[in-house]
Amino acid sequence: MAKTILTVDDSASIRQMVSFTLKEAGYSVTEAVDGQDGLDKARASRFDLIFTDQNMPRMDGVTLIKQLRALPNYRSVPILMLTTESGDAMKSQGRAAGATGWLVKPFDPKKLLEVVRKVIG
Amino acid sequence: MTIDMTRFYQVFFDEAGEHLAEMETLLLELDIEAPDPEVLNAIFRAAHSIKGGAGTFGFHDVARVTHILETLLDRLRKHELAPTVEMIDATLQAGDLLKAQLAAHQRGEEFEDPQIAEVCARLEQLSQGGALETVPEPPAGPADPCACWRLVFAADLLGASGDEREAGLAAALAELGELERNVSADVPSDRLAWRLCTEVEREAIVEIFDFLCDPEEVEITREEQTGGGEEEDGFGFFEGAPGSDRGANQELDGFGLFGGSPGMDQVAETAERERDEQQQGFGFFETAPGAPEAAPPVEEPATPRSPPAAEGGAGSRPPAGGRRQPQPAPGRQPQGESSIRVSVEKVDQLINLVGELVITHAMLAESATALDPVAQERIFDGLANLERNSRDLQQAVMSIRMMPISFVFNRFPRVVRDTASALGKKVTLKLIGEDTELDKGLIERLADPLNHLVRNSIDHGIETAQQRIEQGKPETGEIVLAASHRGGNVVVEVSDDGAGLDRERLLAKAAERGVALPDNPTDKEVWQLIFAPGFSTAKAVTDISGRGVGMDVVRRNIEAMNGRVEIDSEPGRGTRITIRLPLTLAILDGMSVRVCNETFILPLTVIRESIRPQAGQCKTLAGKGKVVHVGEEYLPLVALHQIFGLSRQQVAAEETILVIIESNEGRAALQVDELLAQHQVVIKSLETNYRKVEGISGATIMGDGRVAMILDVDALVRLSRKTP
Repeated sequence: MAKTILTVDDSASIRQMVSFTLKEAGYSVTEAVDGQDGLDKARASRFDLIFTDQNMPRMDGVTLIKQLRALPNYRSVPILMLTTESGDAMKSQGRAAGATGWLVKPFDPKKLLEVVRKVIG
Repeated sequence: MTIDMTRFYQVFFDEAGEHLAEMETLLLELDIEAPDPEVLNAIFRAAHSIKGGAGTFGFHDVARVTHILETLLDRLRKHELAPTVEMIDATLQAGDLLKAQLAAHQRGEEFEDPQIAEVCARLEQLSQGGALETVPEPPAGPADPCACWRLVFAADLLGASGDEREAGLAAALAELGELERNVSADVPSDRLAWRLCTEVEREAIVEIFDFLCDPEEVEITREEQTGGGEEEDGFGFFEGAPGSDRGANQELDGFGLFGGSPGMDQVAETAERERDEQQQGFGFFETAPGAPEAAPPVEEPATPRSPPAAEGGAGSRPPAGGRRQPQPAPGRQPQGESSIRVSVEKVDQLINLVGELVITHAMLAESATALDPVAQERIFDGLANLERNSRDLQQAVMSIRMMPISFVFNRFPRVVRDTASALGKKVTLKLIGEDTELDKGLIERLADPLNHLVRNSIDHGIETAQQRIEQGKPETGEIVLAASHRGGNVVVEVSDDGAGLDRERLLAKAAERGVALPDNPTDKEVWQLIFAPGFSTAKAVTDISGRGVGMDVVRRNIEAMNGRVEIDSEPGRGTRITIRLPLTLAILDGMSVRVCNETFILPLTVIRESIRPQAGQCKTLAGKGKVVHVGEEYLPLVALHQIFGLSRQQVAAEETILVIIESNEGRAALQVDELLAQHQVVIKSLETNYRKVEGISGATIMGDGRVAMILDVDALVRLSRKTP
């Protein structure tokens, strides 16, 4: 069965790009428009990998990661932050929240796939 | 796999446009004295989202401006700086530039303007003002001017005539920037490592290689200029539990993984499986979430520190209990949005087809009149159904094009703010009925006239604060923009509580300009003078409302939408300009009338009444041409057969019918031979299919297949004045 990936981003264009790229590569992708939506969708299903943006309305990425890590299903699922800030502050916040890693925006589809393959094959 | 990024451009443009509009609205609402942190956050997020998308899709000029803007907004939302009017102004300006940049990209161009550098410099200066510390942020991704790229490829990649081609490659690359060949010794001897420092994008380098070999075979990686550290090009892994793969931070090209963090087990497994697969040729990877994890290092709270705290966090959400939503089958996920974006052309095509359907129905109904309604009952039933269904369909399709007028209204807080501050006046704007819907085509065409009217009201209507206080008015003037539906029309009003129009000055100006006026003109007739070409009563010409070239254009634009403008004004109390528009441009409720052997369509909205004149009711008055005495008034008589040059036998006035119409030029009587029927007609543009004809606003196809012209009453009244 295809690996399932949840991509959480309030930007429709980035979401579509991520989603399209991953679907083309054979993954099954679900989109969520903000942290709250992402959490709801994550609870309702199980994903093998989660990408989340940081700055989003309703719930930001770091909060989402914290909430996900509190769920038994997501204790050890890889969660990567998409971030425009390559600054250390962001990274250490993400790390403290339980992120598995980060991917710096802007990225291209090739880079995205490289990361996904590395993480879930 | 290559993904064509252009397919996401339109979504990005739409999205960025929405973000900019939202940012502007929020900025205008922002209370500088007591800024709402949520609003500051939302403004920051808007800029941040645009930057992320712009970087991803390669609009680096947009990314650059948003990056600088974001820096300022970030400091504002973190309360490191207090918002000032200058900051709001600069941010609004940056928003305008971004709009221009995006619009240019949409046309496939790049927007270049010295203003960009100016505004960026101002933003930078503002974001440093009052800074406790200045931490220059690293530029966003590849948007920085010069980056160094490491190019590693097999020495024999270029094929047999390698040396020669290598020299060619080097020359081509050197044109892009500074090229250093054979830079490092840490590559195997059969591989070459070069370094290229250049302003161009990665794609440009790939293109060069593409000429000579498969660019996939070339490792092109960006070198971090800051040096030190293992992080290359913005990604890396966190070092956590020492020892294993899963413990080490991994910093890679553009992303990173935190060693020892949750999820790293999978990463390690994946890597292991890949190794296994390479050895065995096959493998199966099972993600087994929930497998107990090695305790994370103490200083790495990878799982939330205390479950109760996390529970508390979860509990603060809306009741958690039954909120699970059924999840559709994976792989075919909806986007969580209940709307779709469709190009306007597709909708227009639908409307066109519905129009054809309406005409087809009319033709069928026409043919059916020859049949016996009793014997052919089923045909008549079917026709009645067809009529009902096509009318419903037509309404449904029209509603797709309907948009709330807030799309135009929303720009006005900005217009009012800018105009008022340019004129040093105090003005507030009140919007009423923003949800009123009308056709998208009308909305777009309404923007310019409204813009002009609003600026005009601020410039000529609203007095200065000083003058207002002297007159006992509140210091701050008020402009009201109101929209509503009234009997099949959309009515948009622009009113101000300013000085009102000056009747004497308008009359004097009219005399000076030689503008024709009836004797003892009514106030309404005098107010209409401001729509005369070249008529400006402003004592001083200003940049804001121009030289009086605008108001006649305003009226022409509105007439072109089959709309009408009326003015009410009271000295000292203010002016109200009322625009009446049809709901849509595509379909018209009309009355068909016969003049000689021709059929014309009169828009129902202009018709007041129709009368059969009596002998002596029509007269010829000196200076006014032919008039009809109706009630207390003398109305100009518009003889359609004369205007359109139709030959007819002399018919006594008493034999004709006079349709009293209301036009922008005042009331008038149209002389026709017969009233035929009331229809809904599909408007076909005469201009696009033939050419513009004065007195005709369009054409339609009647049930019998004949073409009928739709009358433009304003133009007809004007024409009849010229040819008495």
